Amino acid sequence: MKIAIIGLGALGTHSARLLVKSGIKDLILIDDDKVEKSNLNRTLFTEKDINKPKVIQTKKILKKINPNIKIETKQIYLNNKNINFLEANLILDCTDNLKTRFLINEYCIKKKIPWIYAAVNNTSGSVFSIKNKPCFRCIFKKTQDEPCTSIPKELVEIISSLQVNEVFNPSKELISFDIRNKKLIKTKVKENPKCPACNKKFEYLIKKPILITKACSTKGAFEVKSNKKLDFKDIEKRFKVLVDTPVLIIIKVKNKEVTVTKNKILVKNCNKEQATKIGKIVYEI
Amino acid sequence: MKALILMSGGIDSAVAAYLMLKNKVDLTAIHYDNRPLTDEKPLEKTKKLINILEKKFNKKIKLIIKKHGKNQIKLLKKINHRHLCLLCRRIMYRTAEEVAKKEKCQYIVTGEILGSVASQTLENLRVESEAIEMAVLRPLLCYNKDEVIKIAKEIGTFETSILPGVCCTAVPKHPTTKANLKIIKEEEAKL
Repeated sequence: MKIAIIGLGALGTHSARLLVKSGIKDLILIDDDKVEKSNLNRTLFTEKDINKPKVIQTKKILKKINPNIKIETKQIYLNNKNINFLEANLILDCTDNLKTRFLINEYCIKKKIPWIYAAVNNTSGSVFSIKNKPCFRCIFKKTQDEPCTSIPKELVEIISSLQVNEVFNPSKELISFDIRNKKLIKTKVKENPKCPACNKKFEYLIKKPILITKACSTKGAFEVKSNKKLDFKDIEKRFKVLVDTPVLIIIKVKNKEVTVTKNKILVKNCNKEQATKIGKIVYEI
Repeated sequence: MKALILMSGGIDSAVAAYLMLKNKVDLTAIHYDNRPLTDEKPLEKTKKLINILEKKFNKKIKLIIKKHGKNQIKLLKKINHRHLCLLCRRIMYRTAEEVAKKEKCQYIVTGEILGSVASQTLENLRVESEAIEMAVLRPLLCYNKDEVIKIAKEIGTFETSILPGVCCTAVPKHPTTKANLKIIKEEEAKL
């Protein structure tokens, strides 16, 4: 069984250690960061790891526990492009933000990979095993991350233990633990029939196209750029072509001449709103 | 003495024209209409600029308009995009030489400034000039752009030169800066 751990902070390093101690022999470690002095109080890292990549130092620590394990390291910040190379049987979420969790959630729905969410805030933490429905997006709304002021290190190790326990003994509830009253709460969660992720509307995995309209340097036209790529062949099928070259084509859109190059379109004789409107038609946004 | 000046409607060629006129050289102007790659504005601007210069020197300046858009499209279809500006200019120079002979001009004048755009390098200018026999005068060659702008403001052409207009939409992102005549000739053979 290959397990990927995303994020090597307090949760990630402790969960990784527990997995290796439990006999897991195939791991993928993902984190783009380097060890900082401020990490030392709640992670497995020590003084000599400072300024070195977290993935490499964690690998070293884990290899000391069991030299026979296979560890793949990826020093990257997970995004909608590089996540597509992630192949694992199970993913442990040890990240620190909702955006990445929504991304992991969508990727795991698409690839049918089970994953275990874990998070801590100032006084409590929770874990949740996700396999099919309900998914993470069924329960968590799109909100801003709340900044953490301080994370009790003993709480981190409890939540890590609960997360790794989910690997071997998964539960259907959302499990929360509060360190002030020492109460473990199990919450039954229901799937949301309107959940966009469950309905395969992937907002994080498939980046929203953006349009930027600005006047060109000589102010005679507006150029519209997008993160969506243009395909000449496709455009030639959709519009009346006035000029056709391998470098640029000129097409007619709404009675206006539009110059299309590989990375932008240029609309002459119009105002900004009209240019954006035409941009939306050409880019299909 | 009479010279044919290449006028685009921009800042530099208007200043180049002014400097020649100031030095008592008679001018005929040629403008390349790059539609559909541009729009009608550069031509309108050129006409206005000629008007300003005519009034200033109390002289008539004949304007000849040559359609150049089809040449550009032909280039875009056949050649390596990096060499576009150079090959485009070589065609403009050749047309200019023909017109100059007809108009009884002894020189061709341009507003080219060293390094003002990526393709205006000494190496490239040499390859451009090679396309024709007639001498090309470049009165702005060693000026800085801001010096040219200063003159343009003083002589009253600046405001017209910066009026909105579509400049060439086909300019490559990384044009050739050190043209090799042999390669340019090979590219030209494709046409």
